[in-house]
Amino acid sequence: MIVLKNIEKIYRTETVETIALHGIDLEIEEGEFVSIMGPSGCGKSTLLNIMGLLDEPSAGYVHIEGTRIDSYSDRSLATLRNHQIGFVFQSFHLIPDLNILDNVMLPLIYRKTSTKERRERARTALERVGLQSRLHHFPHQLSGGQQQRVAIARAIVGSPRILLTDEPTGNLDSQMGGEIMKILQSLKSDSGTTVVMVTHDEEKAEQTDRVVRIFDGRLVA
Amino acid sequence: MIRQMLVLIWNRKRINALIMLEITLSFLVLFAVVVSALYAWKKYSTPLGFDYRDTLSVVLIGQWEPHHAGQLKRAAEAMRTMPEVSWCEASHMDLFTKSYWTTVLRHNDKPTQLMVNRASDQYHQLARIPVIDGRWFGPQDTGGDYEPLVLNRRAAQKVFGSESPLGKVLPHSLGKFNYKVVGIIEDYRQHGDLDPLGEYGFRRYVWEENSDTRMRQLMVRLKPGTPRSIERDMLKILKTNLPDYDFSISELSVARESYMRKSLIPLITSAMLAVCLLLMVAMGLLGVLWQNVAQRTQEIGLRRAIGASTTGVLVQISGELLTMTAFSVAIGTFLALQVPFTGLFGNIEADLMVGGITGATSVMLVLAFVCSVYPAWLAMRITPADALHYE
Ligand SMILES: Nc1ncnc2c1ncn2[C@@H]1O[C@H](COP(=O)(O)OP(=O)(O)O)[C@@H](O)[C@H]1O
Ligand SMILES: [Mg+2]
Repeated sequence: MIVLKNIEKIYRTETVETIALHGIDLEIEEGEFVSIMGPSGCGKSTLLNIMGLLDEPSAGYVHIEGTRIDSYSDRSLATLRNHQIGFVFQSFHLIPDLNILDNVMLPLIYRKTSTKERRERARTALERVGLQSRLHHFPHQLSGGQQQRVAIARAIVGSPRILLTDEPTGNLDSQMGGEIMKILQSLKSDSGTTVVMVTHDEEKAEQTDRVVRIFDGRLVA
Repeated sequence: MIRQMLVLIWNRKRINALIMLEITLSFLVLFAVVVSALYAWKKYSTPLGFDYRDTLSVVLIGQWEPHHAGQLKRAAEAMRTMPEVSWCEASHMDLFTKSYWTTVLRHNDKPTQLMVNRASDQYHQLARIPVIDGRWFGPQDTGGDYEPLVLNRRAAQKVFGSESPLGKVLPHSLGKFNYKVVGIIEDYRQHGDLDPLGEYGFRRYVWEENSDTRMRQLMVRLKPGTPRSIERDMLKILKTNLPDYDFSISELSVARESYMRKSLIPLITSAMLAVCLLLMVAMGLLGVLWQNVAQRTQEIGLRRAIGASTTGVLVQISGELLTMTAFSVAIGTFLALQVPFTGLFGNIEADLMVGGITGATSVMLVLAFVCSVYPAWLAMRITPADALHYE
């Protein structure tokens, strides 16, 4: 499903050179729920961004569904992100000036679908996260947990095979965090979605199929 | 995509209203500048309607008395005998100065103000003023119950509209007598190249022995290449025939240039002010538009993360701004179209309105396009991962 081969990521600024990832080899199976753990700054987000084709590795290759990603400026990358991958960020990244329904529909406007179908699918996705009654609210009218559920609905509205989440519970209290975990688990069990979750919460990590640990940009066994 | 674009514009109405206000104001400033520039250019590129070359103006300085008319007539006749002189005629108004003389013509109760001059029967030949319809006045107008009048095309149009002006009779503004229109000329722009394109008329000056009609200027067309030393001989003839006067002789081509230089100063000053104003407006607008897009770097990152292509984002961002610009320009155009009705700036001709609106609209659209596409493109040169963390 997702294969990372010898991934390096080096951030260069004028004065310093940070090696964020070093020689990462990782395979994630279809339908697996994997958590990535490690202390702050160890490279978890960087790794997830590279998996999600949001960032380009300095060396090494990413394979998604058996295809090797060669070019990071290609338009086909946009299609791949749109159809195969859903992303959930720690800080939600909802568009404040669009209501919940429009926010969730966002990935679909980059596909050839009718407005009616977009609405239907957005509604279904919002039902799935338990927010069917809040369609016309704006993000600032929702709690943090609700906003994160909207972000999950947006990530799954296009039925991606892969869901990448970067500390989805990091900004939430433990009860809301628990709800988010339940949703992610149901996605894996109901739709067979591959879920990768970055977290530094040991308890949450234990609820997943496999824990991948990183320290200082390297995988630790 | 389009629906969502409009939804976004609407939901951001508070900030967008400010942006649109800024665009509308810039549009109006630009409109004013373009119209003024076009108007200046139009004035400059319109022919004067007469030939000022090789011509001297002789202004009489002194107190007019009726018997001076005969003296003036003989002075003119004497000048015509000089071999260097091809024409010598009378024309009352100075060329290339600020002075003017106006009257009001009433036709069907509609008054029209125009500048007038008074000139002798051959003056159109001296000044090479083409008569485009009818004729210049002449001896056949003597003894009639009217005074002949030659109008420029603009005046004829303004007074009579689509009616044919020739032969039309108009009362003098104080009702002393009637004018009859005998001819139409293209133009006589007495203030020179930057003269507003106005209405103009010539009344007839008749050479007589005694006249209450004061005439203050003789025009002399010289054979090309005549040296200025001829002025001494001319002065002698003038002094002999018109002993009560002093004379001021000037070359029209010199007068034209010095008047032009004088009129250019305010024009250049206002052009410089306009450029400063435009720069300020452009900077303000650029800042506002630029910031609007730069603030959306995170949004751009997000859109790309969920699968928007680079072109998709560019189309969306510039589409939003172009839609707003189109709205603002429509409002601006509506306001600009009201300007002629305020009467504040006189009657702005249709071609200037069209030029001003077209010019200002295209500049605003180009500016909006560049100000959205360029910063959006900059925001897309960084990876979506970086864009999402951009503050
Ligand atoms: N855009 C960037 N430019 C420079 N350094 C970066 C950038 N993004 C991350 N880093 C550095 O790379 C390392 C890994 O960062 P990150 O993947 O965000 O860690 P984590 O998500 O595990 O907290 C850190 O040292 C961080 O400072
Ligand atoms: Mg992180």
